[in-house]
Amino acid sequence: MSYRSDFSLKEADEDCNQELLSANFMSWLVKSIALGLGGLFALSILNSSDSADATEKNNSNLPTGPINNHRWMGWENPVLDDKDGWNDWDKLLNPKNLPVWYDNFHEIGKTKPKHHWVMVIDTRKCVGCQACVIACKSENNVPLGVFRTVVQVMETGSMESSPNGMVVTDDGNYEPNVKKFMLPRLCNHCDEPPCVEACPVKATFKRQDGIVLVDYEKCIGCGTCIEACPYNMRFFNPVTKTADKCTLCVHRIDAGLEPACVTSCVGRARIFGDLNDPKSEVSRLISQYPTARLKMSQGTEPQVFYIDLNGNLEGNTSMDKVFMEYTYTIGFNTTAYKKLGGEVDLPKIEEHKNPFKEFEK
Amino acid sequence: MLGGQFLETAIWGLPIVIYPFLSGLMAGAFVIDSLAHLFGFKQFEPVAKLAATSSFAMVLIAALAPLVDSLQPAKAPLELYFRDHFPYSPLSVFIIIWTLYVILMFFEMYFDYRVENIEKSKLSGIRGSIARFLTFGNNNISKESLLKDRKALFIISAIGVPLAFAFHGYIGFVFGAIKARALWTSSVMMLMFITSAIVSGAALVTLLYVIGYSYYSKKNVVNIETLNALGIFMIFAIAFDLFLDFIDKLYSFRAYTEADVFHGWTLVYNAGGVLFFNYFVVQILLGLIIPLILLIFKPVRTSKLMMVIISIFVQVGVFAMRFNTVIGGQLLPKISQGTIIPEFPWLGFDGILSSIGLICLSIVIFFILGWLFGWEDSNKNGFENQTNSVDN
Repeated sequence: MSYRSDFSLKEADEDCNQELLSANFMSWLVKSIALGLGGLFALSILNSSDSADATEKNNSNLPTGPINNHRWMGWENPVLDDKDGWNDWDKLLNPKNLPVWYDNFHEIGKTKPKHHWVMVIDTRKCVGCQACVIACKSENNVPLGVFRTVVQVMETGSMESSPNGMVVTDDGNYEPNVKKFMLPRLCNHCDEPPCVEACPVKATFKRQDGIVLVDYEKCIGCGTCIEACPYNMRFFNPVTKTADKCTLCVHRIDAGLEPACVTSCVGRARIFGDLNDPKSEVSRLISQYPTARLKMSQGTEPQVFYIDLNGNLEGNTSMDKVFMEYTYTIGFNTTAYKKLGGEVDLPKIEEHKNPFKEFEK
Repeated sequence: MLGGQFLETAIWGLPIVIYPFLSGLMAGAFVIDSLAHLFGFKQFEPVAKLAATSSFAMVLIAALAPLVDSLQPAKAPLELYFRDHFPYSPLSVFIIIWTLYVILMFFEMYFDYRVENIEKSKLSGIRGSIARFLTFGNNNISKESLLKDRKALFIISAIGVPLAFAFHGYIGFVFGAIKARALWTSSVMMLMFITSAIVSGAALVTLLYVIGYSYYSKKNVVNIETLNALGIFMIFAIAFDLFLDFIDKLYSFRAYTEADVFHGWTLVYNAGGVLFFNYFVVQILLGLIIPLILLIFKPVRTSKLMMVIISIFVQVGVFAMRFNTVIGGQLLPKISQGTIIPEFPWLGFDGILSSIGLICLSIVIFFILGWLFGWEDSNKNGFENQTNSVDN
């Protein structure tokens, strides 16, 4: 009897030890988690004090501009925070605090929006001068190698063989029966944007007045929206390392100006306006002329209307019907470009740490 | 990749190829595990624990792969959990399924290795203290508790099989939901991903089973009956996968599909296309048809060497399938002409080295989990001994 009780006591002791050990481990775990949380809290306090200092500096009477604020240019320090101005879109880019949608876009119409910004592109007037591309790049500081808007130059039709043709080859003479065609492309600011719905973190949204925007602070750079855009008008910004796209120059629209590409267009091929206003130029153009939109089969309801759009260019640009002329805005890394004999070395993009160094002194 | 996008680039690089590959291994391995626990196939019991450990190792890295490819990996987890665009974005549903699956796998591992951990907790030093922690204070090894474990594993498998299918099916949906990519928008995409996952998971378990039990096990030997059963299981999985590939090819005919898909197949997969060799030779012939023909013969199914070779063939074929789907779908341009020339740099976040590193990391994590929990069956004579001890 006594032996048995001893044994059970021993067993109980061992059990106690084990429990103690696991209790020690648990307490160590709890302590380490608490330490980690405390550290995070301290870090957040430190960070907030830093940014408060930064705002004080910004509010002082120092001259602003690229030399004193490289972050504004997006080159020196691509760290984005809401004190930056450009990304504080609730106050600066959305002064009237318009509501935004991440999905269920059919509800936008029910709220009776005051404006609905659209663009009409009269392709008869486009001369392919690429002024809009350059204006966009300088207005929005789009980094090298990527474009928010492009003008594709193409040729439709075919070379027909005829005895008195102008083009003389070894196989015979040909008469060109072709037409040159310029197709300005930009974000279509679709009414049913698949890119917005595909974003996993609600970093991109549609504003009440129809503009589709990206919040660079929230974007995680996963690339889903870029894949989801049927018009290939989204890209990775190599400086901010986020998705980027045409904003329809939202900062200019909010200030009562037209987008930069519209202002710079030499032939007035791009016309910008409010579709909700029946007297606006875009409304009158859309009612007077037959217009077409790109890739309507995708069901995205694009809001960029083209006057006199060649039917062969509406969908994917098939090589049987359209011959692209490769300007600097069109993909160099395609087999079609190589087939044309284009063996141009890709321009190397050098990211200078401080491109304004020579001006500073 | 960010160096000069020039309008059209393959945005999703090699890490996104690794992502469905590893999660396919994970889902397939879990199916093998559930064959023993849920459907009661006694032949699969020796590989059940191996399958569970490898499934857990793969699921941890499967979510790391898209994080590697994203440009803001530090921001991504926080944003995905607290600003989740549920249920509209396919990736947002994926993160929820992933979290549920990891929690489920913790329970699976706990009940699978509870007895082993109680045995190991008698050891001294750090190994013993870790095992003591992993038992969570439950040191009961009576018959009732063992039966309770079996019941718990049955329930976990019953929840886990649909979850594993949802896990990998949803990765198929991540691609299938992108309507802008003509080659991805396919109704059989989700099913193809699940089937190829089962094929690759069975091949992975076979590979680890033969190599591990032949060379690294002190108490177990390779059970020929189990090897045969794995081979027969692979026959059915490969046959179904081949059928789906046939349907996919049938859908690409000009009569049955839209112009974009037809042109995409002509430019990318068909004869003269960019990925013709990769698709028809590596993915279909090497990865599916040759293993299927070989597996029909019983001497092949009972030979360790042949099963290892077949498993490697199948793995290569399934990796080619992931590559052809992810990269091949992006080769068809949206607004340019011809096909995109993809770039695979050696260095960089989406480079070849980081992709090799991801696969190596999954193997390392498999070894770590094998050390923490265990990887092989506890009984010397395979399944018979264990079932007897529980039944009596």
